[in-house]
Amino acid sequence: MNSYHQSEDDLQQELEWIRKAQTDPDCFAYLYEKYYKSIFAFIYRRTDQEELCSDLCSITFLKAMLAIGKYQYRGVPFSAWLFRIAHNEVKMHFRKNKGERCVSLDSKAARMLAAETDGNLAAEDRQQLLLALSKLPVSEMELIELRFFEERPFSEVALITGITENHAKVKTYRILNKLKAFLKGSRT
Amino acid sequence: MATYRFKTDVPEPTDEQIGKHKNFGKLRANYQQATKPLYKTPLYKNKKVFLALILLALVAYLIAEFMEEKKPTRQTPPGNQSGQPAH
Repeated sequence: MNSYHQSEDDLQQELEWIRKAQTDPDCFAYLYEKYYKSIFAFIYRRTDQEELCSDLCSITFLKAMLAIGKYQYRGVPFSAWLFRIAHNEVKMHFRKNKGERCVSLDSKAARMLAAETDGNLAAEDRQQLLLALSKLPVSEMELIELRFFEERPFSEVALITGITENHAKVKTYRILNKLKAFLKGSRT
Repeated sequence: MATYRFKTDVPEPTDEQIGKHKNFGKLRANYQQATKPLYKTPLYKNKKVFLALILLALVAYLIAEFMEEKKPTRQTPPGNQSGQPAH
C-alpha cells in the first residue's frame, strides 16, 4: 500500500465531507486542508516554479469547488479527481505558454523504470534512459510519470488521464516497449 | 515535440513553503465572486459586458443614421415651387 491508497473508513469519512461540501461551500475547507499539500507537490513536480505552482493550485481548487456538485464517487479517492483537475491545468498551461515541461524523478523511480526496460542503472544507462524519455510525446510521458515516478495504481492513472484502466495498461506496456527498443538500439 | 527538463532527487517543497500559499479565505472569496449572479454586478464593472454595450450602441447609432439617409425627403411637385395652389 503506498501513500495514494486509503482505507475504506477514510474513504467513507471523506465522502461525508464531500456531501457536506456539495451543499455548504464552507465545508470544502476540510478537503482543501487535506489535499492542498499533495496537489501543490503534484503541480510543483511538473512546473518547478513556486509562484506558478501557487496560481495553478488556486485555479485547481476553485474549479473543484465550483464543480463539486457534479462529483460522483467511483471507488477511487477524491484526491484522484483533484489530481485530474490539476493535471488538466498543468497541461493547459504548457499548451498556452510553450514552456519547458519539468519531469521530476528520484533514483528509486529511475531504478524501477530501468528494471522494467531491462536495463541497469549505470550512469551511462541512466543518461540513455533520460534520452529515451525525452523522445516521448507529452501524453506518454504523463503515463510514465504517474505510474513509475509517482507509483500510482492504474485505476488512478486512468482517472487522472481520462482513459480506461485497460487502455492505461496497454499504453504503458507499449511505451515500455518503445523505451526498450530505443535503449537496445543505443547499445548496439 | 515537447521539451523536457529532467530533475533528479530534488526535495519536495517544505511545509513552510507550501503553507505560505495556502489561503482558504481567498479561495472562498474567489468562489463567491465566480458564483455571483451576473445581474448583481453593475454592467459597467464587467469589461466585456461594457465593451459589448458600447458596440451595441454604436451599431444602433449607425443603423439609425443609415436609415435617416435613405428616407426620401418630401419633394414638392415640379412647377409649383412657390407653394401656391394652382388655379
